[in-house]
Amino acid sequence: MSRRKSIWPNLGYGGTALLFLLPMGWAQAETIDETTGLADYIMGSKEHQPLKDYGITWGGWVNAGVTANANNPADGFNGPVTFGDRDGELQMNQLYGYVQRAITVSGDAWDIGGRFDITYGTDSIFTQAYGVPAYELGTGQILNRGNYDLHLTSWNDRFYSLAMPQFYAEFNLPVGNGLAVKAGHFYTILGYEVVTAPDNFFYTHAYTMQYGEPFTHTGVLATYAFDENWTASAGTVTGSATGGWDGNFNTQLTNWGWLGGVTWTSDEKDYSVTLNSTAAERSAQSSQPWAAYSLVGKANFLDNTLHYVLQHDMGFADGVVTGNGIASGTPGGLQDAMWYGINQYLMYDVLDNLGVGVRAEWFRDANGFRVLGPQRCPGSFNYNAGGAGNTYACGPSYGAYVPNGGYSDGANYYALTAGVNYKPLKWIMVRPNFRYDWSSNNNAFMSSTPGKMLDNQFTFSADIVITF
Amino acid sequence: MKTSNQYRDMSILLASVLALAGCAEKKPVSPEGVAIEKTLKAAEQDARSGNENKAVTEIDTAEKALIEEDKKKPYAQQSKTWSGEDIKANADRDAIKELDRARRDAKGKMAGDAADEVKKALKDVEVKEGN
Repeated sequence: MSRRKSIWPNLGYGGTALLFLLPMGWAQAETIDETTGLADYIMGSKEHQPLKDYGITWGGWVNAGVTANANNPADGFNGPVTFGDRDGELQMNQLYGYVQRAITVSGDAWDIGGRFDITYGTDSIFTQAYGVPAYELGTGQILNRGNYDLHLTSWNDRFYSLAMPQFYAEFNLPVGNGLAVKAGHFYTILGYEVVTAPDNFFYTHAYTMQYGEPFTHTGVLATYAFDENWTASAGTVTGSATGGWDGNFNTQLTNWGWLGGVTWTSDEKDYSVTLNSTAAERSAQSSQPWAAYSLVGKANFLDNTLHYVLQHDMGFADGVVTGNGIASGTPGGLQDAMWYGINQYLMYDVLDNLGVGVRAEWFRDANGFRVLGPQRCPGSFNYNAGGAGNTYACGPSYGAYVPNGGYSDGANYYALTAGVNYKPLKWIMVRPNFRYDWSSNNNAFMSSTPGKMLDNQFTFSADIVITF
Repeated sequence: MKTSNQYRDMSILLASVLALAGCAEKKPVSPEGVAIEKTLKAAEQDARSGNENKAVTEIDTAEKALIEEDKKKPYAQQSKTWSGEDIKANADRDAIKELDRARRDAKGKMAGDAADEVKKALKDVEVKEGN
């Protein structure tokens, strides 16, 4: 496995184009504080949204970051930490764009809208519609992974690819306070952290987001506000062989499951609690259950300057091959797998454009089913037409992480993260953070010696998000 | 090489965007929104002229009006938001956040900061009402 040492090639075409675009707006530097994005800065507030009067808007950003790992891992991966998953390499995580027409939700009139998101970069593999694994997780039957966005770019590039994480139509049905219905491919409502870079406090992500929740769904989701405090969602999802998670449009369409939940918000928006869940049969080939829930509580204190978030996730998948099952010799390596975790965030707005924050988390992959080494490795696994399996992002060395034939031991994963969120302009965000990860019962982090694994790692990461 | 499915997906996308453009129309601002914006403009002016007490009263009035408007016209609130989505909910939340800070600064005799925060809240309300 070769490691990239030159940082500039990793910027890709989008990053290079941005370097040429930035100076174009410097002539208008006197208005830069008022601008809302790079396009606004370069083109002007009206010109950059030519269809705004018709409700159609676009947006996007470029997000690039770098991580330094004190272990100096021989394989260049920051263990099971995803998104910023490479040590010492500048990653263009997201060159992201979307176009949308937001609907007016009301009881008065029908409305129709929709949204399409597309992203190119090193994060794409984590948010593609990969919910159909290369093989059925209980029976081992080879599956068609679907080709919605998994194959938009070739299998050959280890890190950079395209994803289309949202592609949906949205309708307002004029009943009661207005019923909003999404139909298509959309981000999950479970959890707290999101894929879209500008919407997170930290550059790095929690284990629950990476391993405990879906990223996207394909299906239909209706949302209704009963009053100013209570909102509920309910829908059905498909296209997945992992219980309705990360489904696509053209395979596993006979397997449908539940997605929904409820949110309570206080009048002054200072407090909220959300409980969301998914439940489905695992795949079209297996009726074994796959389910998860996510509980998120938020609170704002000190005149809305101190923000606290508590998250708990729990998931279940029955009758699947697990690391512990293989190690203990259960028939077929099958077990009923569970995973769960707790995250806490405390963030303080020192200034309008400067925040500091900490995140403490514990995630338990009880059976060795969710955390299988660097996620880019199993995520890029597929069988070719001849039936030979390969992980294009990691190659044959993938086996070094996962001793039980591709499966980890069940383990606890812990992480402490502290960081700063600084916005020198409304549309530029810089996020340095320190992070310490450690695991029990499973050495998840590679040392500088190939194949020698450690139970902890210390990283420093920093990224920049420039919003268009 | 692109597959026929990918060409099909792109065609569907293009057709979707054109369809959305065809059915779109501009949305009016509600009477409640107009009243809140008027109160916030007064609060900003009073804060700028150093009349912090009056500004605090107007900030309170505007925030109560925002909450009352939400009771009359409730909207969906989720724990997760993505850039560009949930515009109304995010704008409303941001407006209340700025008003909380403006009230704190006005009470603390930091009238200039309070005026700036009210101005930001006004922009958030405009976004909320324009959605």
